[in-house]
Amino acid sequence: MNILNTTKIAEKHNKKEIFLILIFSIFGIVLPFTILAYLKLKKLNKDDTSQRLIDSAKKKDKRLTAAVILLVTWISLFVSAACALVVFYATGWFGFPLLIAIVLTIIVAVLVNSLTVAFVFSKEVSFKIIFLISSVVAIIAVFAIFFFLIWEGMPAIAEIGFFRFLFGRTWHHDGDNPQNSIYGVLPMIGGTIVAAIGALIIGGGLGVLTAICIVWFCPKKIRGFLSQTIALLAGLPSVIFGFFGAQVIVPFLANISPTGMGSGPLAVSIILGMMIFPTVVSLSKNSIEAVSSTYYEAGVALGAGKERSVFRTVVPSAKSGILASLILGVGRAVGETMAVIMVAGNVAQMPDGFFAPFRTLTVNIVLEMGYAEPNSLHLGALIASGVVLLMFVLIINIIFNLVKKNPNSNKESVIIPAIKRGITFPMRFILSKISRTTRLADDEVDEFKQRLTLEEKRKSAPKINKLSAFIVKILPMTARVISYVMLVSSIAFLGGIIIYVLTNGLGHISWQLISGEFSGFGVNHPRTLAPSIVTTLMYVLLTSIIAFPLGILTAVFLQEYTKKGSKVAKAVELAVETLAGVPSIVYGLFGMIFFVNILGLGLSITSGSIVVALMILPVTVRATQEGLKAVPDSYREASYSLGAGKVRTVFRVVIPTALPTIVTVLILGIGRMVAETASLMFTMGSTPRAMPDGYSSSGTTLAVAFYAFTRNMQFINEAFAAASILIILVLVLNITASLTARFLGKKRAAT
Amino acid sequence: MDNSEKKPIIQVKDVDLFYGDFQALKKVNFDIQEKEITAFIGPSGCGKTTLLKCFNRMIDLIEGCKVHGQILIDDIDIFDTKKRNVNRLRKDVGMVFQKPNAFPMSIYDNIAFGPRTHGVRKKQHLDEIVKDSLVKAGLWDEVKDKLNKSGLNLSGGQQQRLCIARALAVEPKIILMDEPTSALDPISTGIIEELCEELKQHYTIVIVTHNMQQATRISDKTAFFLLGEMLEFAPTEELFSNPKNEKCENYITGRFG
Repeated sequence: MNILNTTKIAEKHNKKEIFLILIFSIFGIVLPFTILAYLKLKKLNKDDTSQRLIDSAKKKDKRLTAAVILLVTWISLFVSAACALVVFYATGWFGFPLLIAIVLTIIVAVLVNSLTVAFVFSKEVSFKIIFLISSVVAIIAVFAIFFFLIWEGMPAIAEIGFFRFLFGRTWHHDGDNPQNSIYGVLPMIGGTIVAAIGALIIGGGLGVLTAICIVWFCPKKIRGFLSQTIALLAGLPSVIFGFFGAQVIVPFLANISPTGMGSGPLAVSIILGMMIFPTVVSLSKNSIEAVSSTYYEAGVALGAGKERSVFRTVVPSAKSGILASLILGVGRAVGETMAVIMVAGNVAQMPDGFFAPFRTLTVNIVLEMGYAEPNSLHLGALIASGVVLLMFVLIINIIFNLVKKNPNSNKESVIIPAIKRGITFPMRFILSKISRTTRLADDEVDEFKQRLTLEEKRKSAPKINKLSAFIVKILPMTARVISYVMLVSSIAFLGGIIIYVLTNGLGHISWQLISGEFSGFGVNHPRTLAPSIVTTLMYVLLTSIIAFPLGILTAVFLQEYTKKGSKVAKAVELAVETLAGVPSIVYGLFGMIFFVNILGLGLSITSGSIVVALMILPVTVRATQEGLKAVPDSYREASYSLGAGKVRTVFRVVIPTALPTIVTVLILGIGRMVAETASLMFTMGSTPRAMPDGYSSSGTTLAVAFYAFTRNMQFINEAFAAASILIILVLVLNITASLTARFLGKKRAAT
Repeated sequence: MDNSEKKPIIQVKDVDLFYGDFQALKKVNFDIQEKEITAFIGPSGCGKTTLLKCFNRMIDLIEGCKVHGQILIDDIDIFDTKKRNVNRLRKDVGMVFQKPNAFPMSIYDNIAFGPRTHGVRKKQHLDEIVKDSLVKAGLWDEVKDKLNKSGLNLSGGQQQRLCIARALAVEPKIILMDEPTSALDPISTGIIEELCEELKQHYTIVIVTHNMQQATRISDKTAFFLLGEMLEFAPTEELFSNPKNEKCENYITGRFG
């Protein structure tokens, strides 16, 4: 204990400046809001001229009170900050208590200010401020991630040289002679692109056809079941996919590979394809479902068969949504880490053929971070590859936003016509005589009789050879059959993963594994998951406490408090969207730089929880927003017409109606926390160790512990057992989520 | 009224229709003549749209729906799948829906969709069909300069005429209209009604309407439906001036609705 204290005091002076900066930034946050609130108050009072005439004296009184209360707030904040300062100087404690103090100070400041405003003006304004502040967190997080990554990565890029770093064809780290190291990320960029394209070809094609099949060709009875099963598979931890790849796919491919090696782009494409499959399916499904059924009916009424109506009217109408789902899938594939690391082969070279080992940007970071010296060029170069990855994702994100159609307008998004024009313009230029004229001759047409009938026109259609005629004839049916085959095979594949892991793992779950005491790191010590189970519980608790309230408040702010297209809403939505696209490994890097090192929280459950909370935030916001959107406007109108205010409407009408969705969102969020791996390795710890003794101690969650097991073939049985526990946990959470939603929905319908 | 030169194009014989256990049509019997406008009137839920949807078997899209009896079009039972291909039937029996449902494609592609479906591939022929159909639907002058613009950019009335043009493009014999003007303003309604009068020269039109004036304005014959039964079928003037059925009289005089 003594030793611990002295080391902490020794570190104190290094952190003094950071601490002061923090204190000032807290006041920096509070001050503008205070001023804003006061000004708003003043303006509102001014606007209300008639009222002012009646009881101007009273209003003046109120303003005086407000000023006094704000002053008191300020003084109390100042005093508490001073107290904190004294405490920290006396004990030298940083880390977790400091963070708690910061959070508490901010909460107190915000609450006191809001309550002041509430007292003087109304509870409407004060709640609006609370909602606004929660929403701003997303914006701050985006800026912080970009700032700190670039801040830490840029010096390394500058030292290596921009072009030599980005286009260098060799990545070689020499631990003994650092000056011999060469850091060029081109092979990894190539690897990332190859992996993304492979995943797109396998997962994208499968996904779109499966979505079409689910919406249009499946019997209605199993439609719900299928979409739920696929959604369930989206929750499977990526380490499980990677494990399955390493255990089954790679050995299988080794049999057919000319080099005898199974790992490489093909294996990665298969695994990543299956991972992005659920994303592509659910998003394409949504956009296909959103196409008005009148298009289909119109197609059918014109005598087009079912297949033709679906593929020619429904699917083209949903094309921007489908394209968006593919782009999002690519984003996922680019950012994926844990699954790739287990099947890629991991040699830092350009991917060369289907079975050549290679690395992606993400894999590079995880592989070498473990032995990167603090403050070394090596570490800088790794963070810089994170920056490259972030840029990649950012570009994909921008394209996604351009492609995504605004559901409220008839207009197509900008990009699709642009792409179309880009493709057709050169062709038209060349074939200008033959191509379709959009202006038809405007001569008199009154004698319809002279024209050929449709039947004659059909017969005079240009002759095509028998084979193509046959293909044209069976094409619609084939498309239908293919989409069926895709659906069945992909579900079989994903079901196969679960069955494979469970059959190999359930038998190895032992009492020692679940509750045994941790005895040591050595290979002779029996493994135990008990510390990991406790760690997981602690981490899920803290992450939920941070992420869910913030996410729900942000969603309410976006949906209920801002007009569509207002600047604040746009900024927050953009931030949420960006956060959603940032790969988990980048969150890990950011957490490592900011929470672990700069804030001095160290590798701890707290650091990990905050980082994952930021990761969960966008998912929570979006899903909650969907739930709120589904609440009919007539409910709100009814509530307002009865004289209820906005706050009352939101909390008494809108949120209760959306409750089933919100509860589902929370449970699925917990599922994601359990599945998360990559970011936790850098912020919470990557080697299984003893029982955590608090939130400031390092630990491994189940998923990370499982990954650690898979690194050593000696513990393959334990790995299978841990994988089974993980799968069961995730499945239970997902099933609970859908059952809860159904139960709550029914209850609501019954009352 | 004896019409010896005209022959019945649609013959409805003892049609019963069930949605699950609910009987939506009860023993309906009547004939529709060629190149006439026949209007179906009656309160909501009386089965008139259901019957209309039987004529081109759009009723197949509704699950759990069973039809007994026969509907003959050109003397062929449309429910006999061996003799009558359903897609060919729908080519011959066009439909215009209650709400304009132009595809989210260009005006040209909207109209060319049908002919392309039925195997017309020559550019020259497609151009001809697009133009003819637009002229027949009275839309040509309004859209001739923007054929490659999205069909959704047109006004509601124009979109409905685009849908009519699209139906005409596959050369149907019969056009079914399911309250085609209920989503339109009076001026667009007027244009569409005039259009129906012109189309009557070449096509048989069956129209479902809630608007009694519309029925009197455009239709030659009118059928009155109530609770799944067809209670009266007569030339329009006769039915409106001298209804034989008491319930029909009550309905058209506005005593119940």
